[in-house]
Amino acid sequence: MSRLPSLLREFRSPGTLAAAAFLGLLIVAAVLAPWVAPYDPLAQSSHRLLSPGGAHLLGTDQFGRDVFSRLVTGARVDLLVSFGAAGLAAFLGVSIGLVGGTSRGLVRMLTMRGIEVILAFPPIVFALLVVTLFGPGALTLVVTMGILFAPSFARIVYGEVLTISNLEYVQASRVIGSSRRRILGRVILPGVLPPVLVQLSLTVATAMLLSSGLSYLGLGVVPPTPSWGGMIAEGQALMMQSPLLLLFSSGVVVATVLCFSVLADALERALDPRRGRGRRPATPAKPLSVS
Amino acid sequence: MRTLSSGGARSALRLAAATTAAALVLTACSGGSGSEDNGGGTLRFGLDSDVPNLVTPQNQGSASMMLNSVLHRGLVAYDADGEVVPALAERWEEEGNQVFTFHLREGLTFHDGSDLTSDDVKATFEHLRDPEAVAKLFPVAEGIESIETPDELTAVVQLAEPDAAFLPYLADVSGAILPSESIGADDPTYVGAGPFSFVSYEQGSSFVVERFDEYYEPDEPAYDTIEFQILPDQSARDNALLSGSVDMISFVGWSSYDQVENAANLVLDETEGPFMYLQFNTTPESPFSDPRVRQAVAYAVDRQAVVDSALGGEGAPLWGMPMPESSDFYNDDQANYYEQDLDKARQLLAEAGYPDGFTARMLSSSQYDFHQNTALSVQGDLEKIGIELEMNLPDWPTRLQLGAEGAYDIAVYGTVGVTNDPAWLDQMLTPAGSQNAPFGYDDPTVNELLDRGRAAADEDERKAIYDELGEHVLEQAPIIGLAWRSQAYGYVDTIEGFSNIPGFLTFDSGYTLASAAPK
Repeated sequence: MSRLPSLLREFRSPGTLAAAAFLGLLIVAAVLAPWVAPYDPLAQSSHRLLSPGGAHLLGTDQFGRDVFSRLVTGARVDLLVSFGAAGLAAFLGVSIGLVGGTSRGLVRMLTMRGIEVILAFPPIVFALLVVTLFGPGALTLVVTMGILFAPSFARIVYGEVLTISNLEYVQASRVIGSSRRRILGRVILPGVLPPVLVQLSLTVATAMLLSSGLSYLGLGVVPPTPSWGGMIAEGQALMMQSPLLLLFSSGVVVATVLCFSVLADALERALDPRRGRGRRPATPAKPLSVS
Repeated sequence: MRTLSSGGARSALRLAAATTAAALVLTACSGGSGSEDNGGGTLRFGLDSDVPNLVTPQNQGSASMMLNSVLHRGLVAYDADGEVVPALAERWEEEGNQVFTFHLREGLTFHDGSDLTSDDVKATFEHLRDPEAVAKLFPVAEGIESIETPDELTAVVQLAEPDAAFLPYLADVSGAILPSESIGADDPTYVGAGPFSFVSYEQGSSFVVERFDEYYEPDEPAYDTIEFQILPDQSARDNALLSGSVDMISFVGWSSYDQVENAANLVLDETEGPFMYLQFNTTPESPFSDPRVRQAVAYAVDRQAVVDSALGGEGAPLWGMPMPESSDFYNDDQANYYEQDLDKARQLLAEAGYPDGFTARMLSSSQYDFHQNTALSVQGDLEKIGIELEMNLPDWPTRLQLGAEGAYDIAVYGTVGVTNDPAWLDQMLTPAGSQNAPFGYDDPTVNELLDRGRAAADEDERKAIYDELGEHVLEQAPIIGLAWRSQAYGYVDTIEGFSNIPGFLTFDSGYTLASAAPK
């Protein structure tokens, strides 16, 4: 891709590099969790609330479970849920946006107004409703957040499609008689991908926050399976005795979300069309705020 | 029997609660204190829960019991040791635990100045035995056959059958005598005959009462005012006591015990009151319909681990019958019946036809972390004998609903007896207990022993009956005791006369606020 050099340039800044390195390490650790974790994350023992150091790198929780092993295994769950949700949201959103942007009349109205209906739901309330109906669990989380975050993708793509459709190369393609499917998939889609990519990295961060929040409320990943949000909830109860439990679990969430945001910023700068051709920039919509 | 919905911290939406409570503490701090200087002064009490619509005869949790116990009095009450003592009735006679003649004190009045007569007693008891009223004392009040009032100061209560539990139940704060005209009213009038009368209530914030000069004990209460500050968040409540913005709190958090104990001017008044237990679905579809499987669980679970992981190391393991040591019916052998023996557990499972274990549904709630953590601790232990538990941890109301519907194989629950008298066990071992009881468990032997236990008049005979019941229940194991929960009040050491009534009666401790006084 022609924008690769600018991407590399962005990554030369120490902040971006550090964020990328942290996330890379996290992802590797999560993938290799069963080998990285020194203990079974579910194994209870009588060594409760040990301080960090010694046999347990980050100490143990009130069940005598190894905190480091739980963080690493929790990363696996949390990353899977966040990427799954962001991926699903991107797929749904891009599809809806493409259809909405290239249709006329009723179809456009149905798709884009439908998106606005989803936007009208406060995310936490919507998640509460779905979890109450279908029961908590990782799959419920992915589907719920996939639906919740799809509108921001759809709107970006919709806007981009409207702009791109009037550009000469698209008209040229139309003139030479390309099928509608070909124009959509081969001509317009590549043009809308850069902002989608930026939105994707932002959505991963937001999904991670929301899934941690739901797990914290007992509506996400079901214990004893470790999840960061669940670990924060457990740590909070023991804030006075073992403040480190809370610090580790919330620290890792903050760090991960921050890194994804830094990465998204870098990506946005690298892919900013203003640095390349003179096309109107597409500002990624902020994902729904989680509050 | 009451469920402890006001206990512990709410894990769901805890953050919001913490913020609100923190704001409350801040207001309390800046509001200026300057109390308990002259005379009786003000007692500032950090209460664990709000009671938006106080209905005295109903079971509304421990915070309502605290408010009821300062506003109201019944014919009898509990003293600091948990003994039944005269209250509005100065004395009574009973015939075979079936006919009770209560003699009221002379010159009793309610807070509004109206006279308290035997007519009010009759009206109150009529209300308690009305199934529509959902009174907490209904289990004994339904046995009332008639109430006669030969004169203004005498009430004769006739029971259909002898009931040894009648007086202990009546001493509960929900047995308070109410002005006949306020009974069944939609909005609480707060008018009673207790040591303090109502001043003001601000929802979610405060409940203020003042000394009632016509209280039947001439020297009580010592305090002019009690200001209940509603502090539902546990750490905010603990901090309010530690920082001196309140003088006394209920439900001291386990994690704050050391801090309160070590503080130079604070007292930690603790008892083992409520307890955690396992209940089984005993219907034929459940693997736990076989008593041997239930016994296997009883031998597999490490009770000390439950105390350490779920109750913050406070409280005590419960290896047998849930009977408080302070009860006259405590039996040491039955209190320590089981021990952890994984080989025996596996053997029992094999005998029951599950040599390789099985998978079952565990129900608990994520709303209270000690409920969830108890379930997790049990899950870890049962895994060792091959029983895999699938966790279902919904919010508290859903937990109660699923429990009542029997949508579980094994469930964690916490409760407290109404009295230290074992008559309350019908609320845990028979279908009358609803969600407190193991689903589908209706054992004729248990029912018969419970009936006999209440009907018997002689203490020794009753003790023998309840020992027999204990033996049967431990063998059948429809419920399995896990751990005693520690329940503590914390207060400044200048308060004397307040007492945490031991055992199940800990939530009746508000009775002793009448005799509490600043040094």
